Amino acid sequence: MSSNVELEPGVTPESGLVTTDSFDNLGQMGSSLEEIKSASAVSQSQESNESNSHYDEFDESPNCMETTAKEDADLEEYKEWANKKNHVFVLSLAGKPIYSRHGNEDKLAWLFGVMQTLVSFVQSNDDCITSIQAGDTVFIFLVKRPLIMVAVSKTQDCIYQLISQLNYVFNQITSMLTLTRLNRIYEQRQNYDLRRLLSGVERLIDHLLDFSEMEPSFFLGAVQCLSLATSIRDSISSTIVSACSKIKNLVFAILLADNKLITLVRMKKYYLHPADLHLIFNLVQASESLKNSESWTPLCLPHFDPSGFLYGHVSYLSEDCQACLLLLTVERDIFFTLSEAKQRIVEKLRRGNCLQAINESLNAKEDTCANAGFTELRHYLYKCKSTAQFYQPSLSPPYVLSKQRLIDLYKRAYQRLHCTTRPLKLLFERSSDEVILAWDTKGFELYIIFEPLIDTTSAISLVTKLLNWIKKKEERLFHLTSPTFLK
Amino acid sequence: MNNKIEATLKNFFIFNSLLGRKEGEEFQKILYYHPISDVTDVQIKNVGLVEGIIQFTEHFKPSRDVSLMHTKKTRQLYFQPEKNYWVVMTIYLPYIIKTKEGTQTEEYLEDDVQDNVYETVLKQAYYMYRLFWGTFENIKDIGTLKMTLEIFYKAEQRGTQRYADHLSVLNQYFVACKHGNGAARRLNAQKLSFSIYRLTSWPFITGPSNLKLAKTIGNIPKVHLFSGGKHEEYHFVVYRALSCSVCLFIDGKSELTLDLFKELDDFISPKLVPIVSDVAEFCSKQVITPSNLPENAPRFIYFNKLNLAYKSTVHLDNKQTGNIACSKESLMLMADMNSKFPSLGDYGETIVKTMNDYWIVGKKSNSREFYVALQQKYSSINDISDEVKKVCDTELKGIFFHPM
Repeated sequence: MSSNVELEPGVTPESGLVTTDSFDNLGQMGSSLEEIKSASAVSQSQESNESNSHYDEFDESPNCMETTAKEDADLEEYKEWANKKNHVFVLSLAGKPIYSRHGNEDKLAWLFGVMQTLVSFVQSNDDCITSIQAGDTVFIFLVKRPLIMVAVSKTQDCIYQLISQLNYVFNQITSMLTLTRLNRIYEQRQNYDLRRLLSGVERLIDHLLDFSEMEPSFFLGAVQCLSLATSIRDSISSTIVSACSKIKNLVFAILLADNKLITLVRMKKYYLHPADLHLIFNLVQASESLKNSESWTPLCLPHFDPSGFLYGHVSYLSEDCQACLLLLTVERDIFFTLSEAKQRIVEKLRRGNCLQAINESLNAKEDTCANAGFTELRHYLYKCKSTAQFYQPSLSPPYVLSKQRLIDLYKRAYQRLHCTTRPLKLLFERSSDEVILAWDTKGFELYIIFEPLIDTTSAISLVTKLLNWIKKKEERLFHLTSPTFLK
Repeated sequence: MNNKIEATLKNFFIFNSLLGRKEGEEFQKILYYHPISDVTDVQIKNVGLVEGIIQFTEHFKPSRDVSLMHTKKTRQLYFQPEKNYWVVMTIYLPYIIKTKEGTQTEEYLEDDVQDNVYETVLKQAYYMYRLFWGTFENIKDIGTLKMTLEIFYKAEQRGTQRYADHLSVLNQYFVACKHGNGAARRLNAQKLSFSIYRLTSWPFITGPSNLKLAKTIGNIPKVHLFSGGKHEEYHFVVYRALSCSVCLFIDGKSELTLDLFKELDDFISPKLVPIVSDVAEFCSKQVITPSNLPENAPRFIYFNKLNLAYKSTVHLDNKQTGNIACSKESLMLMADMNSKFPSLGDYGETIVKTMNDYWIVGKKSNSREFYVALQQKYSSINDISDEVKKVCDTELKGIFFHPM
């Protein structure tokens, strides 16, 4: 395959999404909010992360487990719990339970205690525990002050994917509280029971974990766009821009439907990180209640600015068009202004037949590979690196009923291309069930699943054909402009 | 200038979790602990942590015992060879000291320490002990057990164990025998001969030093051999002639006499010579001469698990350690492929392109495995397929890979 690829579908000079790979160093992000709120700046100088590193040595031997002798009735439940494929636990540095993916945290309080002990014991040697391996089960520890995150997994996911999952959970919690507040809470009271502040967030984390296991967007670090003619997408963007032209301090307007991005309008100079956008997608997907009314919700986007909130006006466009519009601002009291703006947007979109176009695209579904004329292809992911956007066709047999298997194939291929010790440029692997080709170039990443008996020559010519096909359709499949508000 | 500090042993200990269960008596759990510079409190704490980890992990019903813990600076390995007996080893990871604007930072090289290598080391440490002393369980008295561990591992660490050198090889030999098939046994016997070769000029390496002059039979180690769950004790006698050595295991209950050794010598000596020349001939056939291949020619490894047929132009000698004709990265990628093959089913192939634009191809067809490192830049996968086909045609005539 030619390594000088001239085709790079989906490339555009400017993208609304940040495309750096750094996913988890929130501490180093500049405070975008401060810049925006130049006038009414609230000083938030207590960011110091010092002290706290010394905890009382744990005198108790870890035998505290024995105190939880399970009664027979609980035994079945326990077995089921123990065999769950993926556990996620969140606790405070003092060992207080905050979240458990399976089972009730209070019942598992002893287990949280053990995890805290392990972490603090290793810390007392000026070291940091990262993982434990026991047969098919891997335990990941991620200490992100002021929280401890633990994943226990029997999936084949590699360590980096599990760490990324934990980072998402941390960011989900941060997005509800802000990192600054989270830190301050524990500075004041190490023993604080954070669950008091997180009612409702548990549901979001549950959803996020399910969501991240099934969606390629998470491991690709990208988002998928709803297929729309350029003219429609442009007219939607310009409608939003003009309807909001007089509103000050509006940072982002995001329109999405069915887990796909329709458009993103941003304040000049500011960009959205795909990981933040994933949290927004998760919020919208997990909250049925948003469908019924307009809401006003504070929301911290950890990659944008972990120190403070944006305020979001969130609503669906209309009963007959299930696209969700989020208007994010730094002003905490302009709900009605944004509500009016939203009305103007909906009216104008309706007149311009844009609502209809969105509905048509939602109902039509993407082509399957076969529909697009690629009979030897089963499925693929195409990611344009510079815009952090990806495209995938609709599922077709044999993966319709086993999407998890498909996702696992992709995850494994992704990992082999990107593993830190021995990264690859290309992987072509044939098994009895399928052929997978994973290709990382400067501009894009491509993952294709072929029929198992395809020979390399035809596989390569199909890759070229596919890239041409995507190139021809790129204007529909990707959001190629990066509209900004006027001010 | 970057300063690299190599991996070092932090500690090594053996404990039984059923012992010393009362508070204040925890130190009784510890059967062996290195280094002694760790005070009792530290020892107890380290054992306590391991016990905590064991119990914690068991709650999630893993398929096997806990085997590893990674921390930022260390790697800890666990092995439970006998019920409730745990052997634990902790390694300080190698690191680089980086000096940047006057401040020093340490960068720990996690990927430089390969888990499977150290897991083997840890298991060897136990099996070696067992070879000489039998199982932990077998020694009923804790005091005696502690003493034997002390004697054995002290000597191990000082590297003065008299037979340590060839016994590590012998151990491999036993492992091979356990998985039992003739070819593997023969192959390992060869290795054994190489390592013992230089030790002494007397025919009996263990046993009487000089048959004509010796007054006693000398010092003969006893070893414990295990098979099918049974455990027996043997005298371990090694006999050498030319480049070949014969290991004799004589029932531990029988008494050894000088006459017996003389008899053995008379019996073995005339028969061994022709075998030695056969073996030598076999060995020389095994040594391929890749030096006449051009430097950037494709290098391959072929292995058939069924008949143990093996051919390699990657390894320059038949020790199969070091001395390789392709990059280390290529070899590691082959190992990666090998570890992924089980998930591919009965047949499969993998083609990868490295960051340096080299290609590695792996093929699997039933029990046959074939790896090629292509050390030239090719422009397309099609060229790769052709090149691999060429290697197959010239080097592996008549061996069928599906699909080609």
